[in-house]
Amino acid sequence: MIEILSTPSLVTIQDLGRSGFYRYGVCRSGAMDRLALAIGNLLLGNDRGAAGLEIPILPLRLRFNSDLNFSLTGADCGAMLGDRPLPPFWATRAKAEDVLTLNAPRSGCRVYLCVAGGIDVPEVLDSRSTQLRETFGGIEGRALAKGDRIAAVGNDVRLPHAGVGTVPPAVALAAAGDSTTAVRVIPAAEYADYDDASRAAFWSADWKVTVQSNRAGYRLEGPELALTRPRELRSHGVVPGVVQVPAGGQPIIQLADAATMGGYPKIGVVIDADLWRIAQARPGDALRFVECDTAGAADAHDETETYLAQLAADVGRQRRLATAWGVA
Amino acid sequence: MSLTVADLDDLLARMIAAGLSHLSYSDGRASISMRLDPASAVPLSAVPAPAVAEPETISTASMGRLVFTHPGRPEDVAAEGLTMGAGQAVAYVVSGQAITAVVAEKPGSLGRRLREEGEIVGYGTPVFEFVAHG
Repeated sequence: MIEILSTPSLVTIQDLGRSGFYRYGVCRSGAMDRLALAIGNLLLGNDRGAAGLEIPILPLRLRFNSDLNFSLTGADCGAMLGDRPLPPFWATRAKAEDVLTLNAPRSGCRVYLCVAGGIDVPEVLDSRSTQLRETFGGIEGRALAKGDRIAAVGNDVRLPHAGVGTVPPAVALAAAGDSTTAVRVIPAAEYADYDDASRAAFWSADWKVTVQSNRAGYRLEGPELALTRPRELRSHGVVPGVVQVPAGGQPIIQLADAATMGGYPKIGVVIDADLWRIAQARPGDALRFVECDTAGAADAHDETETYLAQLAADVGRQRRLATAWGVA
Repeated sequence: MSLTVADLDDLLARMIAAGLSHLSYSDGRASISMRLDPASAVPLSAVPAPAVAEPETISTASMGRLVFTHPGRPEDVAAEGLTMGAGQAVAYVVSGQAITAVVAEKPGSLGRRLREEGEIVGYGTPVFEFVAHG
């Protein structure tokens, strides 16, 4: 059991989200940085989709009420377990009464805390993810508050006594471009409807992440994107990653909690393998779009899957050896 | 014959599981011999201090490539003379995508660094001399 001692707003329980309910208007939800959540779970020997905490704003303090394996992935928040500093992308064992403090991030935006076996809350529509707007999933469909107690499903996995971690994805995976926050984008249905200058600017500009950015979407600021002629579109399905351009000409990237329908023109879609990079971008950061096609998106997906498979194998080997060696 | 650190880890795990102290293998062109010394079956950091005062060391608990900065946090550097808390990492061992920590088991100061960045290390390889506090 974990007890929240102090927390900012918007800390939620998330897994990999809901699929199959778009036709009912239920968005995917789930972790914004699904890669970080998967890594956190794999470090602990969990299924990669087990539920964890998504922590977008820091600091946060919590206390372990019993011995428990946990991991921290995503943003590097200078975590301290008692007076012991923890590296990023790390799993270790907390003792009962240990206090974990997550500080302001050194890099990145969202921290994921996973626990042995995953967080034990009921599934709603095949997922444990918190759906804040519709108030279901997680704990009563709400963000965590001081005093909340969170149970872990638990497992019998033993970690090396000093913990085990992984090479972070920002280091292990090929960069999407020259910029640290470059993301690959496939031109979408209305791409050709933008004028030449706008299409050129879309690929060349640094797009500033504005403070009007959250789990539903990131509003960007940059050169105004203009259509060659006005377009009236019927509402249509929208998935995470779609880059819409409302009338003001400033793009919005739809993300985990985005509405399932929309009617704005779509200039592109960020490939799924790069959505984690957006999730870790902070207001004020600059994004750069790099043109990609479906084959490139498939390659990026394969690279990510290879990284996760290698990670699971390598970390699993370290856990088994530590147990055999008597240092788990 | 081409072996990776992961292969060596697997061989070691099989030796431990089977209770073997020595393993030799040859394919006619190359050979490998691994010895599991009972005296080093526990990482040196966990071995009780000898009666005669010798420099304590902080040692590895896994096999792989030794690095003194975390791949995701290059600003952290463990260096000679630094004061370390119990459980604090002084170096890391990278094996494939996995990272394990080389930690000070108790509070103290780092002495001489005994290995170079990027060296391949085995189990129980001393990395720093260490002076415990108190």
